[in-house]
Amino acid sequence: MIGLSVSFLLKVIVVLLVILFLFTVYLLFQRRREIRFAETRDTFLQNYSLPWYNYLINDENFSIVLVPRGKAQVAAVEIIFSSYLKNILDEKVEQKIKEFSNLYLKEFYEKDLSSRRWSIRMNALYRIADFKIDELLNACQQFEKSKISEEENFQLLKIYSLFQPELFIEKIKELTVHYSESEYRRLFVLLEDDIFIRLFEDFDSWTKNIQFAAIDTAAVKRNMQYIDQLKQLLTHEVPEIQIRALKGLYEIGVIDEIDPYVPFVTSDMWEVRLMVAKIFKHVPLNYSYTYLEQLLEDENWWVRSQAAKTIAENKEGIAKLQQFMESSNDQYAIEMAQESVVRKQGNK
Amino acid sequence: MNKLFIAEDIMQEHEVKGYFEILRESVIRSRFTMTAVFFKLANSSQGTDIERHQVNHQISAFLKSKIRKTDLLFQLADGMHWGVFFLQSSEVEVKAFLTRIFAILKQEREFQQIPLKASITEIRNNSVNFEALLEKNKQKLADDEQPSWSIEQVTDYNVQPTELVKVSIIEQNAIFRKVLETTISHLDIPHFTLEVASYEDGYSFLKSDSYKSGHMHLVIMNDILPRKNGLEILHILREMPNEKKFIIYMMSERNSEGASLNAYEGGVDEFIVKPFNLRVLEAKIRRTFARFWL
Amino acid sequence: MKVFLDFCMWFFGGAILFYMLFVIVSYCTMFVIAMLVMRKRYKLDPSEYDDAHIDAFYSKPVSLLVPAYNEEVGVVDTVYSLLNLRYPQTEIIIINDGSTDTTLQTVIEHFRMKPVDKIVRTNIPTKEVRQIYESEIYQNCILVDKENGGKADALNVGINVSQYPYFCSIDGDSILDEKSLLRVMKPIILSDGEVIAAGGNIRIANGAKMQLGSVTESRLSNNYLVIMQVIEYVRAFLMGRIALSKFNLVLIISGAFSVFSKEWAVEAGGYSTNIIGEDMELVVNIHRLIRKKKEKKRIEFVPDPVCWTEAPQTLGVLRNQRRRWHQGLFESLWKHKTMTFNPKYGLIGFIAFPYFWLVECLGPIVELAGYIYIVVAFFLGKIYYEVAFMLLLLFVIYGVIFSIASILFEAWTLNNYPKKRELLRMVLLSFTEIFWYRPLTLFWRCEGLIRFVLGKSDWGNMKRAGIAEKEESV
Repeated sequence: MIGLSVSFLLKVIVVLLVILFLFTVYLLFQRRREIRFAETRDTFLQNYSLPWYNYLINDENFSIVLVPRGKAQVAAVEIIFSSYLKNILDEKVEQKIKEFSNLYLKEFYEKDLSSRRWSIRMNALYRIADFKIDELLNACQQFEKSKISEEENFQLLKIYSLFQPELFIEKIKELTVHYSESEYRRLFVLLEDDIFIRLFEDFDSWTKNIQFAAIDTAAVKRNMQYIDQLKQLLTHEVPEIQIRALKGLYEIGVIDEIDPYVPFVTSDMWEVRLMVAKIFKHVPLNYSYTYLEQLLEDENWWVRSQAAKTIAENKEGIAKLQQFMESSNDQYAIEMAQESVVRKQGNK
Repeated sequence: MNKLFIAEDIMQEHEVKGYFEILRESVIRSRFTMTAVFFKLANSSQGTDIERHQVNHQISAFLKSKIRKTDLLFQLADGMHWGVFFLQSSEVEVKAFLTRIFAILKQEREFQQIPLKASITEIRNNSVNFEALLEKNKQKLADDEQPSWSIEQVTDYNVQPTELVKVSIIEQNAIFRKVLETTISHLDIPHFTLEVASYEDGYSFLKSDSYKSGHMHLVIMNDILPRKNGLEILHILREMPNEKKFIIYMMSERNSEGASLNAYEGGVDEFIVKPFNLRVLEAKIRRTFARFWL
Repeated sequence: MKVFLDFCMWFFGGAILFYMLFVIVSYCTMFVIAMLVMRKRYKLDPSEYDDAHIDAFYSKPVSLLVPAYNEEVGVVDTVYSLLNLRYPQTEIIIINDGSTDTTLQTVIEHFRMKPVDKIVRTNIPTKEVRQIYESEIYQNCILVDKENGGKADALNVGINVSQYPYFCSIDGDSILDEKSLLRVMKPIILSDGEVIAAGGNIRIANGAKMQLGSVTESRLSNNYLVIMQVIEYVRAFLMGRIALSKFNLVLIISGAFSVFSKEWAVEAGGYSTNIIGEDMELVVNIHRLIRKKKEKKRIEFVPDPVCWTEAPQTLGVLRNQRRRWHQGLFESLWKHKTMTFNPKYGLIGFIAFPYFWLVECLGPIVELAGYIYIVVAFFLGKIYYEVAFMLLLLFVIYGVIFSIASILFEAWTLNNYPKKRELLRMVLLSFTEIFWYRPLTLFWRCEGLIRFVLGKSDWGNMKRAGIAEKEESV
């Protein structure tokens, strides 16, 4: 039995070694190909970077030499385009890239979409969105019907949001996969205002992640018209949404009335009280001070710390804090006030 | 008799010459325009000596009361001209000043008898000497037919010298580096010549030694760079004794308040978040250089 | 007597053979899983993700902890490489662990640190903090001066001082890529916090052209010992980490560069100060916590290379390192031995722990026994030749074939085709592995085991060296 095993093992080793040898040869061959590919790509970059600059930036006439031939040259053009898009903000450049890609790169990516390789398809989807190849919208919808991964589906959503927002809203409603908040943010942040605001219309019908992402995106857009939407959410029954809405309003930084926020000072959740202590930064101190003093004596460290910080940031804050230290008998609160005062004075 | 016309409490021509030479050189060094104004009575031939003495005294006192502490008032040796050097002031500013004081003179009754005229010389280079300046202005004011309150101009010295500015672009992306290089070398900024060089990382910039020369130096760099990052270079440049010659623009992909705060605290002049518009960058550069001369 | 010897030889021969087959099969399985994971990403453009997530809006802020014990030479460079990270929001916390050299002064002078009064929330009890400083140049740069207490204690202080929800521990001597943090944080961001700890792939940077904190040109070292370690790292990465990570079975993420959720790390008690492998200890404790709280959280290993480190160049240093690693591994496993085959811990108890016990921990003993067996069999005569020969063949598969396969597949999946000369050199060197490198490391690892069993004599000594030395296991 063992004798058989030895010869068997020997055979296995020989077979494996032969496979590995062939694999090595294949790799070395691949390397040669890669090098040739890189050479062609770099030559194109070398020769046509300047003509591309002249076309994109200096408005020179389009020349047929700019059109890439073969995969390596397409890779070169991709490098040029993404360098411009990543670094330069210019509608004219974007428009030119879009036109060119729709005309000359469309077929490459259409073919890549039907590739067996997931990574090739993903790259194609990236480029369609980056270069705004809207003529491939139909191809994308067709592509959606095949069995696709979550990541591909996400890229498709991004493409729809760019080319056909209506379709995007539709798709996101019937979404079966769940994306992370940060992914939804990436989708929402690019939306036009009128489309984006529709997310708030039917707010409760969305999944949690969409709700959170919508609130955060509203905050980062710093658009006045979202303030009302966020204020309405302050009375939402889910505490997490309340906290997010408070955070969003804090980030927008425009607090026109203090009344809606006062009830939160006595909230059961310390996170809520922390957010209120932050929001009072944007309110004149004489309106907010009584509440802040309350928060300064809060049982939670973070709330106390934030309340002290908020007071100290105000011009009259230091004086108020010193007054407080004399009158209060809450040792923790006094320490916190002390730290804020020292910190503030140290900065001057 | 000339002595009579001279007011004792203002500086005299011969005292001012030395000052002028210092001021003229600092015009170049600190890139601040200086403007010289010379006054003369519009009808200087009238009146007795006593009257003229009286008038001269009034003029000196009046001018003295109107100029700023940084301006230098003096009387010329011939007793008929007054000169003022307005430091850090352009011709426009000085014209506004003249209009103001002429208006006062016209209105106030006690000054009725001193109708002045003036000539303005804007000085932006150092190819002017004191004697020539005086001579040119005297000529401008020599014509007795000139009406009161008229303002003449000497324009011989208002062209600033062209200054060489080094521009260093430090950016990793080869294509964008080339874009910046091409764009900036085509930038036409009056009175400045840009000498553009580009580097792919911080180390090669520091090795190039070009930053050690005394020229004004515009550095446009990314905050993230291979081999010595932007913040490190910023620190090195700002620690140099003549760090004021550097104008530092920092480009960043990091879109956060913290990153820009850090950069400004570290001493950048502009913090530009990528992607940005090239035209805006050009405008920022133009604006930066426009600030150098009034 | 002869019968007894005969019985022993057959018994041990069989046992070792069986063990080797078991190990080979488990490695093969992990290798196949890794291939499937890696090959999917072949030629995928990573910049797409990187560019999107450079914006603070999509990412979460991270506190970077730099423990420093007598690192006056390297600490400034480390901080600069952290300032150079492509990440929107970070704070850098340098913890001076009671250095006896000028580490403190160097940092204070270079970054213009100014003492600040700051109340630190003591989440984890630590040695006393003497003073906290803040940089005048970089607002997000903090220096903490504390009493000496070892690396784990320094990291705990850093956790207490940190203000962000995630923290990342960094070894003073590792070199980071500008995208390191972005990549390591990727699973955390994309899972909405379901991933609570992540570690990256560590590479060896010897021989690569390194200048001022960046790897400019990766070239293979000329030192055979270093090349062997390069191969070893690649193999450990392909036949282990990736597969384990896929099933949430990661027990070790290298302390050289890994991110943890502060909330979970604090709840798990932070870094343990009385243990050699404090990074493994933390991971295991977090695993325990996950099971205890019955939450759906993961610890992940990121296949992207994120961190470069200098490998030992001499046998002496390497021996020290391996001995320590193994002693640490055994110690941690022993401490948590009750988790083995404990149904409470699910797959961790039934797969990860047995795997670490059998393959990683006790493996060296069996393998070394195998080597001894071959030698003994050679002297005892013909009847044992066959077993010995089979053993030898298994060693060949285990050592040579796996090594070569790892090198080739790694090059293939990452699409970075190495130079012909380098590839061939690595392949040829793999053939020699079973004759010198493997026995040597086996021996050192067994030494580590013995040291653990004999007692923890030179412990304090070890702890002190901890900060200067690298803290990862292969």
